[in-house]
Parts: sequence; C-alpha cells; structure tokens
Amino acid sequence: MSEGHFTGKLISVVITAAVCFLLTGCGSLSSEPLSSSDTRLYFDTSVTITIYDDDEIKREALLKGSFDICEKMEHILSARQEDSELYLLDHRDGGLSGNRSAQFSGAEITVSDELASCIRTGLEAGSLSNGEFDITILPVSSLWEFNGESSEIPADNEIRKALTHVDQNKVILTGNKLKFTDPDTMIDLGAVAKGYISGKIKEYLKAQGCEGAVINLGGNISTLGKKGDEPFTVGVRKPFSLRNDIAAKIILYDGCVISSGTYERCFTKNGKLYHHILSAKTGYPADTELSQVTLIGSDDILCDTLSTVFMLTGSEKAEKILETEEYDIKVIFTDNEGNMTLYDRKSGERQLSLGETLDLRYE
Amino acid sequence: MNNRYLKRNDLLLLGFISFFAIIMLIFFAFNDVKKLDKACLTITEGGNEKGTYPLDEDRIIEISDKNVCEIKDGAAYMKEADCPDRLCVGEKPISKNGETIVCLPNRVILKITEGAAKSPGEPDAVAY
Repeated sequence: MSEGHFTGKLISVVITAAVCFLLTGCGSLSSEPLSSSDTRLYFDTSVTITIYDDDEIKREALLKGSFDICEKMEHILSARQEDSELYLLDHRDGGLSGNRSAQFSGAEITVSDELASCIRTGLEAGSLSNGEFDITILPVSSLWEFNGESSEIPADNEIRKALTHVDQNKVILTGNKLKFTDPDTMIDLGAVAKGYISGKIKEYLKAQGCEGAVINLGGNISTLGKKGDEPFTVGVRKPFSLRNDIAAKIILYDGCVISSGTYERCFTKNGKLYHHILSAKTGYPADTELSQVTLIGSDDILCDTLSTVFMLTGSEKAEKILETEEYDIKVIFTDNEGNMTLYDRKSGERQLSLGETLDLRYE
Repeated sequence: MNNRYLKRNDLLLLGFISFFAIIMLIFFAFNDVKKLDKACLTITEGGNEKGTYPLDEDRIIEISDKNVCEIKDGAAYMKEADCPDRLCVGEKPISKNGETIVCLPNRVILKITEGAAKSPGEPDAVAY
C-alpha cells in the first residue's frame, strides 16, 4: 500500500518534471542568437558592428574594442580630420596653395605601419590597373564635390593642371620610409582605408575568440564566424534605388562583400551622371559600362581596393587581373542596364537574375 | 487499478503543477509578445542619445531643428532634413531590430531597438 503510494508520487514527479522541461525547453529553441550591436559615425561614414556571442560582457567588450580601433584609425587615415597622419602628410607643406622650400622635394618621411600598409596596397593596385587607378588622385579629387551641395564640374584646365601631379611613380615607399618626388603630389586613400580598417577589426575579433560578427563599414560588409548556428546573409544594393532594395543575396560564414558604384556620391548635370570614381588618366569620372561591381572574398583591403580598380578598368580587364593574379574572388558586374554577371576564375562567367541568392557557405 | 498508483492527491498535485507550468508558459509567451510589441526608435545626434520612442504610437519628432522624423504605422522614417544630400530622407521606413537610418552631415542616427527580429532570409547587412 505505501509502496504503491510512493510509486504514484514518483510517477507524478517524473511527469511534472518532463512537462516543465518541455515547456521551458521549447521557449529557448525558438529564440534568436544573442547579439549586441551599435552604430557610430567614423571616417565620414556610419559604422555598424554586431557581435554574436552568448556572453553579454564579452559582446560589449568586443564592441568597445572594435570601436576603439575605429577611433585609432581615424587619427591615422581620416582624409578630413586635420590632425590625422594622412592629412598632415598630404598637407606637409601647406598643400597645393602653400609655399614650399625647394629642399623639401625628396625629403624622407617616416610613416606608421598602418599608413604604410594602405599606401603599399594602393600602389600595388595602381600598377595592376594600367594607370586608371592611382592613389595620388587627390589633387584632382579635391576639385570635385560629390557631397550633394554642388553640381559643378571643375574647369577643364584646372583638372589638367592637377593631373600633372597625379602619378604614383612620384611616391616612393621603402618599408616605412616615404618620399615624394613632386611636392604637390597628395595621397587619397578613399578606395583603400575602409577595407584596411574592417580587416583590422576582424583580425582583432578573431584573436579575441569572437563567435560571430557583422561589420558594416559604410556599406562594406565583412562577416566572421556564425550567427548562432546559422550563416550570414548579405544583400547587394540595387544601383540607383533605395539602400535597402536588394539586387542579390549572398549566404556566407567568414568573408567580405564590398561594392563600388556610380550611384554613391554623384550628381547629374545636363542629363549626364558625374560620380566619385575618378580616372587618373582623364581626371573625370570613369566611363565604363559598369554601374556597380561587388567583390566577394576574404581579404577586406584587397576587395575594397579592387572594387574601385574594376569600376575604372571595366569587366574585361578586371577578369584578366583576377586570372593573372590568381585571386580567389567572386565578382558581380552590374552594367548600366542593371544586368548582373557573376565571375570567378574557376567557373568563368554566368548571368545572375535579379534577386538571386548565392549560397557560398560551403566555399 | 490506476488508483493503486496514483491517488487523488497525487493527481491533484500533478494537475496543480501542470497548471502552474502552463500559467508560466503563457506568462513568458505573453511577455515575449509584449517585448516584441514594444519596439522602440532610438535617436542619437553626434553620439548623444536624444530619446527613445515606442514604435506603436504615431508621432513626429524634431531633432535640433535639423531633421524631422516620423513614426507612423509601426515604422520610422526621416521626413525632413536640412542636409545637402538628403539621402536619409529617401530611405525606406525602418521597423526591424537593428535597422538604422543615418543622416551623415547632421550626425543623426535613427535606430530600432527591441524590435521584431528580421525574418529568416532577410539580409543581416546590405553592401553598397
């Protein structure tokens, strides 16, 4: 009798425990992976970083660490901040308008590792581009205004005059020693710096054992690890439409998706589009068949720089560069009609339809 | 037969605990729903938080005489801006967790917090 009573109790306890377990277990199954995210403004653009990790303290620490890197990089690579290392380098003697002593020409300047890395990548990309891409474009790019305030085309003679200082052969970099052979030659790292910085943030997060992260540095997307157990989905913006209108989707774990296009920082005058991707040969916006290129790879700084290079060279030359340099990068070329072509050197070209999803998680 | 193992009181206990568990489930589920409903818009300007507003109440918010943002039908968008490029004004209304609209010249950020999660397949970020 008492044994039966005990068994009854046992059964009821087991059933209750099972019910409780099931009820609480179900709740956590459906929840999103835990994340922390913040958006801040650096380098004249917005930076959103999202960290996925079960440990909240770690998430917050990693967010802070990532933005600390942005802060540090801004003091080195910002083109606008008047006390950044790059700005001081470019305005080493009052800039174009300043008087300078003849002795300055050829003086050796020691630059930081960060600045040296960016300049080196820029110079290498320049030599791949056949002179179309050149980081010494600044005397020309500073004549153009693409901030929406003006739609003035600079005077042609001004552009031609500035172009005489645009030549990356006037920059000699040996280790951290930099020499300008032309006092008016100035460096523009707009096509390089964002990729360098997101790469540095990713390196830091990886070293800290971060489980997953999405870095959105002004539209350059870089991903690390996983979102819980899932891969990340990155959209590619449809040119000339709203920022959240998507032309294609990419599913990936670690990687970067970096676009460059004629729809950012541009104006239209007399029915013609003028955009910020300037040819170092002409001093005018690139006039290739492309409205956008998107690079999908693993090396942020390389993909960022090549995205501008490819906008300038056009798709044919771009494919040759990928082939000869043996870069494992996938590229989506979007022409002015919005047709998308996917290229990588292993499988060649294929058309991509609007809204298509590329699943790259196993590559 | 059953009564030999499960007495009336045992059944009562079982019933009571199950009932309690179900109440807890409903409570948590309700709390979750409530949390999702309480999606908010957080506005920052120059890095300083200007305010947080629930998305379920329509309103118009002026931000330092420079930008005007509107919450309407559970989504927020930039209605007006005195910046030169006005890119922020052209952006789609935001309502999902983590979505942002940024007015770079005026250093204003609109951001959704505590909102509904993005549905599966929706991108985590958009390259541009």
